[in-house]
Amino acid sequence: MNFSEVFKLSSLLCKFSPDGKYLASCVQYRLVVRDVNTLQILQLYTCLDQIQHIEWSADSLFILCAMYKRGLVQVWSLEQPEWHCKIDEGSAGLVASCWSPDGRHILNTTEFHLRITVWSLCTKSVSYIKYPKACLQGITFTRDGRYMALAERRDCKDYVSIFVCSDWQLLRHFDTDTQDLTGIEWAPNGCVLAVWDTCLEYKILLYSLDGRLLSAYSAYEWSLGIKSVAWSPSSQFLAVGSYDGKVRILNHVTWKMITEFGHPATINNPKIVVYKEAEKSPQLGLGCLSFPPPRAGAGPLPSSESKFSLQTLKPVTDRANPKIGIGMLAFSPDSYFLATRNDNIPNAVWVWDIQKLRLFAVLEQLSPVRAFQWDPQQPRLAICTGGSRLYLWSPAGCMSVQVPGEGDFAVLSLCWHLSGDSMALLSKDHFCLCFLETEAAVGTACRQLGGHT
Amino acid sequence: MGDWMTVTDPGLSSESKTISQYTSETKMSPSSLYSQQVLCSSIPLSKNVHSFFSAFCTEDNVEQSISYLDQELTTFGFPSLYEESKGKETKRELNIVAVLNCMNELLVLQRKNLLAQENVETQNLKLGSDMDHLQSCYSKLKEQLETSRREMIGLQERDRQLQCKNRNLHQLLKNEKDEVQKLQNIIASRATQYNHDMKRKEREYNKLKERLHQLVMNKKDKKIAMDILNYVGRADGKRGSWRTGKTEARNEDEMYKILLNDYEYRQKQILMENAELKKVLQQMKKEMISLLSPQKKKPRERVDDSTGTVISDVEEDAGELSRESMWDLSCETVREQLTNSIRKQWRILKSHVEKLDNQVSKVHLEGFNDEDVISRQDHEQETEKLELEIQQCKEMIKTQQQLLQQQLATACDDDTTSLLRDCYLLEEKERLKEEWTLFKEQKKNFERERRSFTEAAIRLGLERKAFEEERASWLKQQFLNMTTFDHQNSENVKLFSAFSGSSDWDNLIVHSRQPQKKPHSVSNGSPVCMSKLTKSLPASPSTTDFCQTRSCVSEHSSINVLNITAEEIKPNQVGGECTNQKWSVASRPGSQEGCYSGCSLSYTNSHVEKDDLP
Repeated sequence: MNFSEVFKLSSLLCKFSPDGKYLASCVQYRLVVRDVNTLQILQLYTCLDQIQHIEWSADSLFILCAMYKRGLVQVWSLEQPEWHCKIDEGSAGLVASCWSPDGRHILNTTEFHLRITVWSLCTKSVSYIKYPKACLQGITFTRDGRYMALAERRDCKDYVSIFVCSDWQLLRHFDTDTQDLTGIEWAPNGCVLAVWDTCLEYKILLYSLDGRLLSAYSAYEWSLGIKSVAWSPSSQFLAVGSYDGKVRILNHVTWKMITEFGHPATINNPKIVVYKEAEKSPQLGLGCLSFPPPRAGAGPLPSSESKFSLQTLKPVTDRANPKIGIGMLAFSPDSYFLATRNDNIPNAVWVWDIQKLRLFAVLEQLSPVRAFQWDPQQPRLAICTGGSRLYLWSPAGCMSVQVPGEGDFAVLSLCWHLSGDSMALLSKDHFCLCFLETEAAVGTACRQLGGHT
Repeated sequence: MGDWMTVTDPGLSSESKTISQYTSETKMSPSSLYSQQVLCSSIPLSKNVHSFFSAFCTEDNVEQSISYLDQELTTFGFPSLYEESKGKETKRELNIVAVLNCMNELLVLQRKNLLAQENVETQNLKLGSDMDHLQSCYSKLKEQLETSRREMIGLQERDRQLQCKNRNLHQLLKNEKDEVQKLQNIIASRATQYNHDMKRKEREYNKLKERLHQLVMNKKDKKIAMDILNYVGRADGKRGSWRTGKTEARNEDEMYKILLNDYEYRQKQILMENAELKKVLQQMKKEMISLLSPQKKKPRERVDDSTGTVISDVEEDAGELSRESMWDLSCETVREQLTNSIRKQWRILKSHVEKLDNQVSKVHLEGFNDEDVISRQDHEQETEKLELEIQQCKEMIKTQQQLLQQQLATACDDDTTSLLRDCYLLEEKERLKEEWTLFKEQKKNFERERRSFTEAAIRLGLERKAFEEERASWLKQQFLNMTTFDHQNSENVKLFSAFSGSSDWDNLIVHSRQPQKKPHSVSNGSPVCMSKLTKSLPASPSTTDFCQTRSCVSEHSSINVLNITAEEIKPNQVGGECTNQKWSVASRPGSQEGCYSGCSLSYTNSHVEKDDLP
C-alpha cells in the first residue's frame, strides 16, 4: 500500500471523474484537475469565489462549480480549457446545483425552493420546474439517465413528478400518501421508486415507473420511523434503517419484509467475529522503521467469553434528531454484504451477510465512525473515523493503515476510485491518494499475517 | 340436717361401745362424769355458755335447773328427764337413765358435729385455694383479654389507616388517569392545531413564494442569465427535438417498453427458477418411484386396499409423467396431478418408514429372545467346546508324531523290520521315482526360463543407461536455456510473491535489507534519523537532500543509499510509515475466521517492508 504526497484541499471537495481518468479538487476558489495515474496537474481553473460544490458531468467532459453564496455556477470544459460558462441565478439565489445525466443540462434549485431551473449547454432554452419540495433527497435520476423523479409539494400535499430527461417532458405526476415526504430513490433497475415519509411516521411506499402504487410498508406506529434507505445494486432488496435500531430488508417480489437485523449492544453469538481496535504502547526494537506515535500499536483482547459488549452512547431523547437508529447503510457492489452503523453505537460498523441473512462481522473502532464506503469492484469496505488511520475490511480479515505525513492526517472522508485500486483520503484541508496492492499481493500478505498468529 | 347425719354415720357403731363404757363409769362416779362432760363441752362451747353454765346450777336451784333442762330437752325432742308421774299432785322424780341417755346422745351429737366441722373446714380450705386459683386464672384471662382487645383495636386502627391510604391512592390514580386523559386530549388538540397551523403557514408560505417568484422573475432580472462561450453539442450528437404530442407518445411507449422489459426479465428469472425446481421435483419423484417399486409387489398382497390403490395410481402416474413433455406444460394443468402423486408417494414412503421403525423397535424389544442372536452363554459354551477339541487334536498329533518317530527309529535299527517294510513300500518307491523324473523335467524348464530372464534384464539395464544419458543432456540444455533468459530472477522468485512492492527492483532492496533490519531499529540512534527522514520527505523532494539524511541511517549498507536515490526519481510517491496498529480479533472461542492479531506494515519510499509483531 502506497500513499501519494499530500495536497491542499478545502471544504472536502475532491472527486474522481466518472471515467476514472481525472481527479478534481478545490482549493479555495481554484479548481485543480489532475491525472489519476501521474497526479500531475492537467488543468487549473479559477472561479469567482470560494467553491462550495463540484460535480463532474457523466461523460467526464465538464465540471460544475457552484458558489451558493454568490448564486453562481461556473462550468469548465476539460477538452477546451478556454471554454467557459457562467450561470447566474441572480436575486433568486441558489441552494443546490447538479448535472442532468446527459451532461448537457444543469439543474439549479433556487433559494426557498421556489423553482428548479434547467439550463441547457446545447441550446438557449431554459426550463423551470415549480414547486420542488424542500427535503433531504427530493431529486433522483434513474441509473440509465432516462428519468428523473422529483418530490413536489402543492397545497399541503406531496406529489412526485417523473420527467423524461432527454426533453424534460413530464411523464407522470401523482400524489403520494405521505404526511411529509422526506426522500425518494430509484431502484438501480430504474423501474421502482421508493418514497419514504418523515421520521415521525414509519412509512415507505413503492411506486412503479408508471406511477402505480406497488406496495406500502410500515413496521410500527407512534415512534420515530425511517432514518436511512438503501437499494441493493441488484434491485432485489431494499434495506430500511430506522430509529428503533433495526434494519428491515424488503424483497422485490412481494415487497414484504424478509428479515430484520437488530443492532444490540451485546453480541451473544460466539461464531461472529468481532474486530476490536485496541491501543497498545509501542514495542520498541521490533518494528524496523517504527517511529510510532506513542499510541500506535494494539494488542489482542483477552476476552474469551461468549458475550461481547460494544460501547454505547446514551441518547438524549428530548432533543430533536436524537443520535439513535441506523444512520448509515451501504450494500457492497456484489450485493452480498450490507454495512450499517447504529448511531447510538457510533464506534461500530456491522457487516451483514445478505446471502445467509445473518450478521457476519462487527468492527469496533476507538472513535466514532465518520464514513465508510465499499470498493466498487469487490467486497472490501474502507472506513475512516476522523483519526489518522484508514481501516479496511474484507471477508478475509481486517487491517488498519496509518496515513503517513507530518502531523496527524485526520481522515474525515474517503472516496474510492472506480477501479478499486486507489482511493482519495480527505482531511479538513488536505487530501492524499492511497494506492492499494493488487489482489495477489494482498493475498500473500494476508497469508503471511495469518501464519504469524 | 341431712348433711350432718351422713357425716356422723361411719362412727356410729364404735360410738355405742364407748357410750356403754361411759355408762359403766358414770355408775361409779357421777361427779367425775359431770366434770368430764363439762370439760368436753367447754371446748366447743362459747365462753358465754361456760360462764353461764358455771353459774347455771347451784346448790339452791338444782330443782329449777333440772326442770329447765327438761323443758329444753323436750323442746329439742329428747325424752323427758322425769319419770312418768301417776298423778298431778305427786312430785315428779328425776329419771337418771333418761338423763344419761340424753347426755350420751348429746355427746354423740357433739362428736358428730366436731367431725362435720372439721370436714367442712378442710372443704372450706380446699374451696378457698380453688377459689384463689380460679381468681388468678380469671385475672390472667382478663389481662389476656385486655391485651388482645388492645391489639384488636390497634389492628383496626391500622386497617382503617390503610383503607384511608388506599382510598387516597385510588383517588390519586383516578386523578392521574384524568390527567393522562386530559393530556392526551391536549396533545390531540395540539396536534390538530399544529397541523392546521402548519397548513395555514404552508399556504402563507406558498403565497409568499408565489409572490417572491413573481417579484424575482417578472422583473426581468438581468442577472439571471447564462454566459457561455459557445453552445456545445449534445452527448449523443443529435439535435434537440421539439416537444409535441408525438414525443409524448414516444415517451410513453418507451416507458412501457422499459417496464415490459423489466417484467419480462423477471418472468424469465422466475421461469428459470421454476424449471430448476421442477427438475429437482422430477428427480425426487423418480428416486421415490425407484425406491418404492421393488417392494411394491410384496406389500400389495398383504397391505390393505387403500394403500394398494394408491400404489396402482402411482404406477399409472409414473407412466404418465415419465414423458418429458408433461414437465414443459404450464403448471395449471399438471400441478394437481403432480402434487397429488407426490403426496401419495410421500404417504407411502412415510408409512413404509414408520413400519420399518416399528420393526426396529420390535427387534429391540425382543432382542434377546430372537433366534438370530446368540446368547452369551451359548457363545461361551461353544468356545469352550472348541478349545477342548483343539486340545484333543493337539494331543492326538503329538502321539502320532511320537509313534512315527518310534517307527522310524525301529526302522533304522532293525533290518528285518525294514525288509518287512520294504515289501509294502515298493509300490510307493516306484511312484516316487516317477515323480522324481517329472520334477527333473520341470527343473530343466525353469532353468531355461531363468536364463532368458537374465538376458532380458541385461538388455534393460543397457537401455536405461542410454535413457539417463539422454535425459541429462536434455536437462543441461534446458538449464542453459533458462539461465540465459534471466538469471537475476531465479534467486528472488520466492520473494516476489511475498512482498507487495511496486517493482522487482524494490524487492531486491528488501531482500538485501532484511538481515540488517534488527540492529537498525534496536540502536537508539536510528529512530531519530528515521524521524528526520520521514519529516523531510514530504517537505523536500530534492534527491540530494534526501540522500544526506538517508546516508546517516544506513552507514553499513551502501546498496541502500544507491537504491533509494534510484527510487527517488519517482516523483509522486512519498514515503509513508505505516501502523503499528494492530487489529485484535476479540478472540472468541469458535471464531472460525482467519484472524490475525498483529499487522504492522511499514512503508518507506516505495519499497514495502512487513514486520509482524509477535
